[in-house]
Amino acid sequence: MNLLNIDNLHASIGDEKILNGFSLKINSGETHAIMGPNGSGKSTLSYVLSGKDDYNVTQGNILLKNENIIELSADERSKLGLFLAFQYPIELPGVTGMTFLRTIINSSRVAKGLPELEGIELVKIIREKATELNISQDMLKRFVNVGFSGGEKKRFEILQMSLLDPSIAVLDETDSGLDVDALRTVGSGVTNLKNKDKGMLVITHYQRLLDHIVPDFVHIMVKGKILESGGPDLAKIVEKEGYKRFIDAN
Amino acid sequence: MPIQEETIEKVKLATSKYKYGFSTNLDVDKAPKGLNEDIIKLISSKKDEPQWMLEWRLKAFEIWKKMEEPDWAKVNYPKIDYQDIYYYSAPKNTEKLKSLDEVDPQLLETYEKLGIPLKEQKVLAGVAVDAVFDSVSVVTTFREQLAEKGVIFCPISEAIKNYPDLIKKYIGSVIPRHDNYFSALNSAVFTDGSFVFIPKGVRCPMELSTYFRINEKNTGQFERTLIVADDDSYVSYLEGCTAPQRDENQLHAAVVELVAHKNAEIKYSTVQNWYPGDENGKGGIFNFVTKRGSCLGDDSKISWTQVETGSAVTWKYPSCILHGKNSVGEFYSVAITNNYQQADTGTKMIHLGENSKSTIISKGISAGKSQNTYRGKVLMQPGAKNARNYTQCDSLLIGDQCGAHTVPYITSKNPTSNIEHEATTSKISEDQLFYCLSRGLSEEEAVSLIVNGFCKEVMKELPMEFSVEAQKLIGISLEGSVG
Amino acid sequence: MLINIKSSNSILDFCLPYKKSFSDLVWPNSKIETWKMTPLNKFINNKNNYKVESYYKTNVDNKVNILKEIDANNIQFLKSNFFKNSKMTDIILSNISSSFEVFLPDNFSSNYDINFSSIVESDIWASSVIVIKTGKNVKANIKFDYSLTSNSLCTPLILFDIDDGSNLSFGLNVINKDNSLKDANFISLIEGNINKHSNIDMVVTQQGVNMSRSDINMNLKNDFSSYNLTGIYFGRDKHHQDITACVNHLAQNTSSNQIVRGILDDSSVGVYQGGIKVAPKAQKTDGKQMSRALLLSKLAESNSKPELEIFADDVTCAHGATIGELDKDQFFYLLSRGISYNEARDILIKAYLSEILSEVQNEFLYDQLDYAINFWLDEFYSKVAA
Repeated sequence: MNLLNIDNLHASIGDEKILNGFSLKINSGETHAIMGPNGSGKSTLSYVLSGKDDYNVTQGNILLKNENIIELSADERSKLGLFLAFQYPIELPGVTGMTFLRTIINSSRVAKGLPELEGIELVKIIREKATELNISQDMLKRFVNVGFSGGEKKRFEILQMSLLDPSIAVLDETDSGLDVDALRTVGSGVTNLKNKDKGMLVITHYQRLLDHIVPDFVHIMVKGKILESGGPDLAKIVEKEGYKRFIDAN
Repeated sequence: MPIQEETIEKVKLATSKYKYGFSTNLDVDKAPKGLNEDIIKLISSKKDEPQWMLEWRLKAFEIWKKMEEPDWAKVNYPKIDYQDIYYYSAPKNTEKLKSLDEVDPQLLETYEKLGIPLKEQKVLAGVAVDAVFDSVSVVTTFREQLAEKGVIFCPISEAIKNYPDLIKKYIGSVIPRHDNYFSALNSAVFTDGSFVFIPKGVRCPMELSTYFRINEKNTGQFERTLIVADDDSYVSYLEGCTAPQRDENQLHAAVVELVAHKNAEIKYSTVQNWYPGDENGKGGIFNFVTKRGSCLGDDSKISWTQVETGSAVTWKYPSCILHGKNSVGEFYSVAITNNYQQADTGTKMIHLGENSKSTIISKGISAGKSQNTYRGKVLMQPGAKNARNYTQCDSLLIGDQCGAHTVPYITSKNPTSNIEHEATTSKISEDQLFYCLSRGLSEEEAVSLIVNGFCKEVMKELPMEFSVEAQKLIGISLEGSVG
Repeated sequence: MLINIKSSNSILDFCLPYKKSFSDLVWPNSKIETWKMTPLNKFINNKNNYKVESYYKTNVDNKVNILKEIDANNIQFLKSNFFKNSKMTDIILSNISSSFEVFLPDNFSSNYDINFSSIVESDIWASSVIVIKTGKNVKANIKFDYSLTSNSLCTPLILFDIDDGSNLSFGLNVINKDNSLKDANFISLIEGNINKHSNIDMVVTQQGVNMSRSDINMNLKNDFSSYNLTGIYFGRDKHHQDITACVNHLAQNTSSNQIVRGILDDSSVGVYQGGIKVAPKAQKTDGKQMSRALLLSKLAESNSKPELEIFADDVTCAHGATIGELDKDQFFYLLSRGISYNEARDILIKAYLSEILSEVQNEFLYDQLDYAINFWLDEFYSKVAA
């Protein structure tokens, strides 16, 4: 089943055009990777998909499970099953991890027509998933992303992802700021969440994340659109030769 | 707290925006409008007061007549006609009640709507309640248990009759009648309030709580609270305020005096949710309150925590006079204004004793077309050797039509004391909002979450029962402030 | 050279309605909020018999005609922008003894620092109106030095109008001419409009006189204008030192930074009143103020009131204020290294002062600060030695 269909997407911020006819289809069970040099519009893509205000979509459509989401706000998109793991997760001073998770879980349950979860049950679920990602109880008592290390921030993103159980997960440069061990934890965390009903879009500059989250398809993005698509081998070529050849070919 | 939840739901159904906007129909015993010696004599005689109390009131009235209403606060409101206010109003049939069963059932229902079902209180919360309905204290629970420990917790009108020596000694000792315009007014016409006395060495076994409520139309509420903690004692006192929704403005001018003796501690928490007026600024309470505590003894401590979300106009500065050596004063405040609300609130920390310490944490949130001012004073007198103050005032603006102001006065008259003051003003960042939205929270949920986080340092000072309600209140008060 | 510019007829006409004899003047008292901490009626004796006169010396080579009488056309402009209904303005205008304009035309860039100095002798009230006006893209350093004598009163009113793209460094230094003064009072009112992409860096130093107040009110009138103030006052004996500084952010992307420090010895009193006001349309404002006072004596007193008044939401404003003595831990650390008490105190006072020096980038302003600091240190040590 088709989960995400991005069709000829054009977007700009201010006067600057960043996406120039970006198209991509993701079916359930598939993992796609988007690779590209700095400034190719990768992060913009993730923000436009999740509905950040500052970006102006001038042309094209985004269909999430066959519903056009262009006009929807970020929370509505989230409730439809889209998740973005941020490259730079935002600090929320004063809001503890536990409070935050409780709020987002119940908000998404209400949207799905499920009853809200009460204290103990909820804590149990959160703890279980947290342990899998090597997130301590202590970390959940701290304020969201405040004073977290790079690895902690990314693990906390993946924890939210596993709790919200989205249909489409967009991972924006999830490997940035991670050392080898943290990369492995995050990688296996994400891999465990893969299943036949879900689609994933992994956005990365480097090939190394793709050793841990193995994609079915790799796309090379330059200047706001996909230049070339292929299998995992394509990532290896980038690893060896860099982006130069794609840019030159353009 | 299932009962509370249910009550809140019920009230939400019954009213639209303001959760507590219902009014009770009761037979009311009311004096004519206006303020003069006769009215004061009437109040005093209705309360069956001794002569000395009447004289004290009349003297206050004399003082008040010579004073002028203060105009230095950053608030604007139409001139108050003090002759157009009822100064005495009491629900009928409430005198000489022996137990809860004798209380007018409609009245009990009102309390239930407020989320403080008295009947359930004993079983559930372990909170003793002295409920003030307009001007007369209706019923006090838990008195016997408190009495066993020697704790006095009763309406002040009763205390005047039963404990005249304590009242004579302490009333007006922290806030003299001439202190300001509203304290003089209150001293002349106060109709009821609570009196608490914690004897030496006693840790009050439960949290004491009073819910104030202005019900009668055009009624000023002038309650007077006096809390005295004798040596080595401890008490935590909760005050909650709501008022029904009305088009005209109502005046509330309370006086709260706290006295902490040697090594005593008083924790005073307020959740103020008086009716703020509607979206167009019509109606709402004028809340002009004088609250002050005296850390009289060495090693004493007074801590004020307030969450202010209501009232059309707020004028309120809970303060501490730190007489004792090593005494501690604290002020934790959240003030939220929305629509056309105006709040001018803060604290005074007056250091007299050696090694006295004070902490001020103030969080102001302005939304809509509201104005929110922190006004504070820190004074180190020459005798306050090695005294310390730390102040932090943060303001958060939601929307571009509101204002946030900070007016601190900082004076040191001795070199060994140390004062540190920090203040910031900012808005909710777009990034934070987007992050929460991308996790499926609506804009209002996101704002409520972020604002609660912003207030965290203050909220954690509230007792549990209050904390939950206060968190919800923050969300409710900011409804309609975004988008 | 001595400036000898007669007050123009237009300014004299303008002042006429304010005319009043000294003994009839009503000085601001503590009932007025901004004068609460410095009530002038307590400092100034109406029975004094001052002679009204003032002189300025300057190094300006007036071939390029940058000094002139205040233009009649400018009076209207001044009227609508300044001379707000303030008691102190009325007092200054009641008896002005000199007035002139420093006019720096478009693209003016001076190759020397422009200095003005005024010595106010005994029994003199020096009251002046000075307008500093620039064209576009001007770059200049201007400094005013005032030294006072016993039984003197000095009340300059200085108005700035800075056109687009200009960059001005301005110094105001108040100092005592002789060792110990009696009844020497200084009150300056400084107001200014700063326009697009323009900036004023200001340094105010004051010491040695019985009462000194600099009352500064700057308007960031147009986008991308900015203003920095570094102020320092020294109090000794029973001196009263006051720096009152308010900045009004009236346009977008404007920034201000006000840093004021004080050192208070003996029974002196220091006052800092700071204000950052942000108008509704002044989005993206960045406003900061920081005040610190150091009390060296148990009879000294410090008052501060750092105020914020904000009507726009996209702003970053912050203020901080600290009052205290020299850091005890640092003191102990030095003593434990074998440094004597006095030496340790000197090191720490100098460290406190050098922090403020490091805030000032401009060499011209740095020199003024450095001079004022050394002047104070000299007096401080000679007192300690005696």
